[in-house]
Amino acid sequence: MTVAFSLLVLVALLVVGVPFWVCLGLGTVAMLAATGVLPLTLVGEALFEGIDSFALIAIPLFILTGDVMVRSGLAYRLLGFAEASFGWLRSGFGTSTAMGCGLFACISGSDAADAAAIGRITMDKLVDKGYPKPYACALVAAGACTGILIPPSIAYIIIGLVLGISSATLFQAAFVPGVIILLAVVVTNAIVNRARGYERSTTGFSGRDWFAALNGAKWALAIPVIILGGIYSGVFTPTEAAAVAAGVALLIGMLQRRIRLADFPAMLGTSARVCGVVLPIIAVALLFAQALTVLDVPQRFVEWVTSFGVERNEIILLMLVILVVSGMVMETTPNIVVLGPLLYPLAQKVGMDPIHFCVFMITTLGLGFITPPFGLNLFVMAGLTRTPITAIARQAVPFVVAMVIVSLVIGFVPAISLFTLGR
Amino acid sequence: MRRVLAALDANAERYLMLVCYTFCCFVILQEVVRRFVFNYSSAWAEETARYAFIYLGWLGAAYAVRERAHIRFDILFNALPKRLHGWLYLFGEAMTLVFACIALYYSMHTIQQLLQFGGTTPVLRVNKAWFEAAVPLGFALVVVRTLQAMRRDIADLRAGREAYGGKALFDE
Repeated sequence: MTVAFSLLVLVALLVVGVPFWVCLGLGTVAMLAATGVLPLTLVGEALFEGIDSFALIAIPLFILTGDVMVRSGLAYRLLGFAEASFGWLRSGFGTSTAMGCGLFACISGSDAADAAAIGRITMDKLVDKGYPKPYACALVAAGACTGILIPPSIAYIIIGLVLGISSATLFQAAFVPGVIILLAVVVTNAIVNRARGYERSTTGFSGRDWFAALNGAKWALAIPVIILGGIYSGVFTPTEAAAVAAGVALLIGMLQRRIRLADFPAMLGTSARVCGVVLPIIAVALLFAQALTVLDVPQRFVEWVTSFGVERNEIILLMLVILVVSGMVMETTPNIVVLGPLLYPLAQKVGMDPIHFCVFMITTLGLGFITPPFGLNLFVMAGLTRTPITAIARQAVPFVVAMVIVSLVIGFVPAISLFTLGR
Repeated sequence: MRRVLAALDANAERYLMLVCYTFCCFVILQEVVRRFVFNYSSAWAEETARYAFIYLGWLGAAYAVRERAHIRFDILFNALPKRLHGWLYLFGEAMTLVFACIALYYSMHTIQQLLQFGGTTPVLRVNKAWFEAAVPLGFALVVVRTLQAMRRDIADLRAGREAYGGKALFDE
């Protein structure tokens, strides 16, 4: 009863627009005070221990690397390479844009950063090629969802921390599902393009141009190789890979005289600011999850759900619905830290592999970036191009459908998430 | 004196965050270089990087209060007319203040315990209170920044101005 009451307080605070970490904090304190299951003195320590994790340091660093790529002009090279590779297709520049998002996703851990970076570079040209602006925004927003789906990814680092799974393992498992989402975006764009006749590329493929673009992009392409190669081969931990990539990108930028020392404070500031928003949520949410576990809430939730006699397939569908809906109304970080511990026991109950569960959960939450009312990528694109959010959201519908289908496939076919781990 | 205070008001968290962040990056990088070039790794690097990062997080929380960057559910904001936004922000700030005071109280309690009974970090063998202090320091700053924000919002409400909307995270 008291638990329900504190949860009610939490939701009420949330609805009137109290910052999320404060809602969770007050809800947890209310719960602890009302039930007395854990001493309140725990609060002070938990706010320290919760974020005392080496893996978390990678979060700002993977954003920093992305930022350096943009400022040093390396991101343009990546896009040039994507265009030389795919420009000859009928939907050439659209495909290149989505692929550019995917390449950038191998560097940046954040999809809002991905959307902003690629959107800024490609938007004018997409419109020139014949795509209407709202649709072009939707395309970039959808492609940029891979920012957190293709490793490195902030979302996988956070869920790894919450459920106690190594982020390097998750990065390894997430690569193929992330690429499938990317391909789904490319294919959707090709189909929409054919149906509506936006772009008809006339450039042919030229081997010489391709090598020139590859040569131009060699430094830019070295960064994802360092990050993913370093993590997958076990040479670096994700955090070290992030620091090295950021360092190398900075060095390249400085050698090419694109970045000066005077740019450093502003550049570091952008990614440092993300910490102030994300870390308090994680710290407080872990305390919240701890309180829920002691009160046996996740276990009771599992019993309640299974009491309807539903089977594995229905449960996966149910989780999909919960994740899509909460992804629509809330940002990813709070979703991961609150829903992770709640849905995880349910997944275990029906025999889902922990890694498979993580990949399924993050992929499905990824949809939330391009669904209104709270779709971060939509906001970023709207802010960047001064296009109304509702117009972009309407154009994003085909991409949402494609991504739901991929999420379903990932949910029902564990092998997609697990075969790279040899399980 | 006044100028010093104004400079602190404008930049205190930003500078401290920059120091912590740079330290964090530097320590990790030198550790990697050391491991590859000198084939030798230290134990202190990971620990100090982690602690600098915790400072970064809680200082950042205060900074985000100032910039109004904390994530909130904005359905009610979209539904209500602009002149009421100030009241919503004020209520959010009041709640932030309540939580910050609770957290400040209990984190100070932890520090007291550490100072009284000792308790050192595993590697550096320094009293952990120095690092745990990140939490009360951060929350003390959150209290200050929240009070400042309340003052600003009340002034805006009285003058009939639109409430400060805050800075978006990625929109430049």
